[in-house]
Order: sequence, then structure tokens, then C-alpha cells
Amino acid sequence: MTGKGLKHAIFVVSLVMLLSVSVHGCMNAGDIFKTKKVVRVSATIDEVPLGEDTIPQITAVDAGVGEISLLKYPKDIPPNLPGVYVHVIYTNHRIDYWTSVPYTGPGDYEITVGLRALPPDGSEVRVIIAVNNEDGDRIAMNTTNIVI
Amino acid sequence: MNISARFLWIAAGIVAMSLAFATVGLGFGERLCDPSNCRKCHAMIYEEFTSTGAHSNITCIDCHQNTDLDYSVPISFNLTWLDVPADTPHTAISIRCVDCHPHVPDELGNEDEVHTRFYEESMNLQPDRPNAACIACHTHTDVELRRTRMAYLSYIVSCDGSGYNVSWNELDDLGTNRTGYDD
Repeated sequence: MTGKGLKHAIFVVSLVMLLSVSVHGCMNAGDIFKTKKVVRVSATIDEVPLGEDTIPQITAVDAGVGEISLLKYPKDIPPNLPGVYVHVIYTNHRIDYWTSVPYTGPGDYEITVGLRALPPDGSEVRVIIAVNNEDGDRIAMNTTNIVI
Repeated sequence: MNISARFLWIAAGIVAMSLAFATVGLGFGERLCDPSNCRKCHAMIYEEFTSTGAHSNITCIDCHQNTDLDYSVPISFNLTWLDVPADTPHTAISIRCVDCHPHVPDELGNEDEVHTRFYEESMNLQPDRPNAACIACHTHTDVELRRTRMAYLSYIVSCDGSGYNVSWNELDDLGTNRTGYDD
């Protein structure tokens, strides 16, 4: 290898190492293969008349457990107003990250909720689905219990 | 530009970008998560919750999420150029006390529970403040309370020659003859 070729090789290797170190600060390489439990919620929301207005009503809720890669794991997201929110309660504590999707009217909503703390396997948790209006007030809710 | 100089420039760029991302990320995280931001306006509540009671180990964002974009600004600040609504409370989403304490509604469903009527009247009077009834007794936060009492106790008393028979007048029990929330 010529002297110029050696310099190029050193340059490329150094650049790759520098990039690796830089990226390593943003993510743990092991996280690519790790997964963590999430709660997946499907909710059907209708609107029912109340006086001259209508209010949402959560008519059906289906919740279950899934696994998501740590790289894509859902965490706190900014609020949506109005929005559909999900909370997961375990032993009198909220264990979910703040999660919501915009409320756009009657229809089916799919929400995936990350968990800040994982209860022991086989634990029963309470899942609360709520609709909050533009003022942040809860105007509809429904609950279900699941084992995670 | 020789290869060493080019390497140094690229290396410096990578390091600078990494530092910038880290700084911005930490800055946003601190801004969104630091409970002391709440303390600036809600000092009494902050002090109480962090020093006493069963909730001392949780933070504000465990129960509240705000938009963090529309903090109220006193009119005296004259910051209209920021296009921030003046003197309007920032929107916050709160979970309800009963979300984490679901046994409470069950207990309040018992007609012999002494706090049932207080809870129900509070919910009726302030439907947009579902935690008010809990806060009234379980925190030091000021709430507007109007205490009521029964106007009188109603009995049916009869005498059959061997003594008096006294019983509750169920037709008059807890119904019309008591002070009400509107009295």
C-alpha cells in the first residue's frame, strides 16, 4: 500500500470510529434487539346527543399486550386537545407514558401505550380510555382490566 | 486542503453536531419534566405534595400534562407581541383521583357512607372539577365549602298506655326537611 493509500485508509477508519462513538451516545447498540411490553388499545367511539349538542361515548374497548423494540418504544408525547388518552394503572399508580391521539369524531382508534414501569408478569392492570376536550376536561371514559 | 485538515474539520463537525443534539435534547427534557416549573405558580401545592402524604414520591407530571406552550402571562408583562393569551390558565390534562383509587367510588356507592352525598353534590356542582371533593379533605388546598346540617330530626312518637314508641319518620328522612346546598 502506498503512503497516500495508507492515509486514506486511516482517514476512513478514523471517521467510522468517530461516527460510531457519536452514534453510540444516542443509542445503545444492544437496544436494537431488545423489546419491551406495551399496551395496545382499540376503542370505538360514538357520539350521543346531550341537549342540543353531542358528546362522545366510548362504546367498545379492547386492550392487550404487545412487544416493541426499544428503538421505537413510545414514550411521553405532547398532549392532543381534543384527544383520546389511555392510562394504565397498577396498584394505585399510573405506570404509562402520557399517550394520546387526536380526537377527530366518531370512529375506531388504535393507541399503543408505553409503560414507565413494568409490573410482575401476570399482574392485572386497569386500562382507562378517556376523551378530553379542547380544555383538557374529560368528557368520556371507559375502563377495562387486562393481565400483562 | 490536505487530508489531515479535512479530517479535523469533519471530526469537529461531528463533535459539534453531537453536542448540539445532546444540548437541545437535554434542554427540552428538562423543560418538560422539571417539576420546579410548576412550583413557580403552584408553590403551596408543590410544597405540600413533596413534603407530606402518600404522594410525596411522585411528581407533577405523574398526574398532570400541560401543553407547555400557552403558559398564562400577566397582562402587566405586556408581552402581547409573543401572541400568548394573557391571564388565561394554561391547559392541563389531569387524571382523576379515582383513576388510581377505584375502590373509592365503590365505597361511596354504599348508602351508609357518610361522604357519599358530599361527593355527589361536588360532582354535580363542579362537573369540570372531578377531583374537588377529594382535594377538599385530603389536601390543604383551599376550597369553597358550604357546610349543611339537617334542619331537624323527624320522629314518629306514639303512646299505647305502656310507654312511648319512638321510630324514625322515614317519610321525612333526609328529604325535604333539611338544609340544602342552595340554602
